[in-house]
Amino acid sequence: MDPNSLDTVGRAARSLLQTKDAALPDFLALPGVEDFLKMRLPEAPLPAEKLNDLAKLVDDDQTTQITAFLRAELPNLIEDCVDFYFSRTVVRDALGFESFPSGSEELTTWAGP
Amino acid sequence: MKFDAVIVGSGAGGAAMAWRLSHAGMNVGVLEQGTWFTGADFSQEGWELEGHHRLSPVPSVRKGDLDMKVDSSSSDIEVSFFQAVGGSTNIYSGHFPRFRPEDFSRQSKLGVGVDWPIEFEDLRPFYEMNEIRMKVAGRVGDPSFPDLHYLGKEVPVGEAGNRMSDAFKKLGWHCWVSYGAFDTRVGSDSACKNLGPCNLGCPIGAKMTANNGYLDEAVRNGVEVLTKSSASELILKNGSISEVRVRKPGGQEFSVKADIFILAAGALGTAKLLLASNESNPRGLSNSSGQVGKNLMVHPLGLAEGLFEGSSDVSLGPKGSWMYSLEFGDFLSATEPGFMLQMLRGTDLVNAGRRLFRTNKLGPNSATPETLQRGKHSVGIAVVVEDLPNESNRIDLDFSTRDAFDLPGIRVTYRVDEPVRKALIKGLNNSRKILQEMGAQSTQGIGPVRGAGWHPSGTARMGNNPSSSVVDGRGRSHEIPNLYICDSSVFPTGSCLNPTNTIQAVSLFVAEGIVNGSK
Repeated sequence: MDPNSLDTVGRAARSLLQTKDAALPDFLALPGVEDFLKMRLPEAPLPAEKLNDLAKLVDDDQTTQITAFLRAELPNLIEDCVDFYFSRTVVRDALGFESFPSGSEELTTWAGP
Repeated sequence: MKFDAVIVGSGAGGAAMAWRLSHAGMNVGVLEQGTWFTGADFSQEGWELEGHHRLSPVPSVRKGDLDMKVDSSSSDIEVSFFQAVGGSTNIYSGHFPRFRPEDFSRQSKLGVGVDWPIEFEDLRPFYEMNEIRMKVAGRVGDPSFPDLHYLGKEVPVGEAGNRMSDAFKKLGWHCWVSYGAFDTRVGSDSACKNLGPCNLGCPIGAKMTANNGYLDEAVRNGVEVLTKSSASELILKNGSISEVRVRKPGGQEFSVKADIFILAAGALGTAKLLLASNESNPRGLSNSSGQVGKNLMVHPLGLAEGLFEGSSDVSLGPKGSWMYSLEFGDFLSATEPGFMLQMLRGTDLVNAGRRLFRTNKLGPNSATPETLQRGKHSVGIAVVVEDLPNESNRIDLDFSTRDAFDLPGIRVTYRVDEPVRKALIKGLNNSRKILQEMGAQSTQGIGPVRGAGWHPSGTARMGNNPSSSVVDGRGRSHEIPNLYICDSSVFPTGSCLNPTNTIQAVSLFVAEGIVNGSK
């Protein structure tokens, strides 16, 4: 896996997922992100030229164009990054979600037709 | 290795068959391509991610190491299955209705499709047995199923369910609490606690599956389950099956002999095995009719969703086994198929995050508990349409790809026809009416949902005429006396209702014939 690819794509994903909300973590800082990206990114996913184009968009913080770029070049990956981001425990904790539903025994039964 | 009976596949039908034959004292082997899944496999860090990846029902998303290779690129619908001991019941919703009496006679009553060679009354005692084994919970008195009497305490629908029910009442439409395969026995260690993510597997064993419903007991009775064992070919000798060749990952091969061979690998796997068993006939085994692999039905599905102000208890409880409606379930004609409405509890955090992202709403302060708690204020309605058998909807062997067992894959060809499209539109429009009646702030509807081919059936159908069917009314091959099929591939038509209860009732019915024949 080309570390430059991983870094560039990771930074691109971060720029799209960073809500600038202090309560929510940086995508790249989430535990397991590197392994996740390594698993999701195929070998040499982008030619060097396209990778450079993406890196420039990231450096210039061109969020809209990053989105369009990733959707065109790595559509499944960006969905996977969104999934990964919102499924991580640290994000759930920051948003006040339970790590796993605890359920309830108090639900009302059906009142009937 | 030799058994009295070997069963290929350990899903809904295979497990019920193994259980029944084991109680008849038969020495039974079960071949399963996948492995065991337990409660520990289901509740993990990032459980919602698992549901969209490792535990996804869609094979192209899941990319399971042991999965059969399925190419659905020529299909409007991607067919789903789950390759593990217990099959797709590991991740099904547990929604567990019967088929109705009229579902068995489309040709004679309406002049469409084909008739089953058996009637509802033939299956009635086996439905009842199955509903007790699978601890089906629900409420007696449903006008759509007036004869259901043995039901466990219903899974509570919550405040949101009662609002749903009120909306249907105002519209004058049928609605009833779902029949759910859930343990709701008071005091049971595995009683349902309304945790919610049942479609990812139940970590406490409250959702009834092929495993806890049948296979666990079958194993205690001596049934041997061989995992990571893919049946590659049935060998015909002197007019009967003499053995089944089996592959392990990497291609190592061995043979299993038995007196009786029973296929329960699902509409995809069973047809694949018959087509691949072509040493004695290029068309495959038991295929003089030419029907093996054809007539694939999948229940094309549409999905409506409503968003509501404020949160509720809607996300608590079994997501896909909540309430249902057969108001539009009657199959009226070839151009007016029937459909079921299956109400769905609120969506999960990952889906909520995806929606924010897709609609470009992910930004500063947008990912809040309120926006992401979509599950607590969204309601879904699935429109499940009855599709008719059509020979051009089919599966074929695909030699361009090989799985972990070095076996070819399959290619699915399926087209959603115009009557089904119209039914989906009608169903989605009606669903939005219901959601609006409930007070939804906004509604949306999509269909057919590509990755929702959850109910494949029809690819080795039963019938009285050997020229147009593969097995007879007892699930026995027309051509090979010791070959049986007991999964959804034998369905001549598929109703609009979830198939698992009917798969198991048919399997128990076929098993009874085998047991009686062996006495």
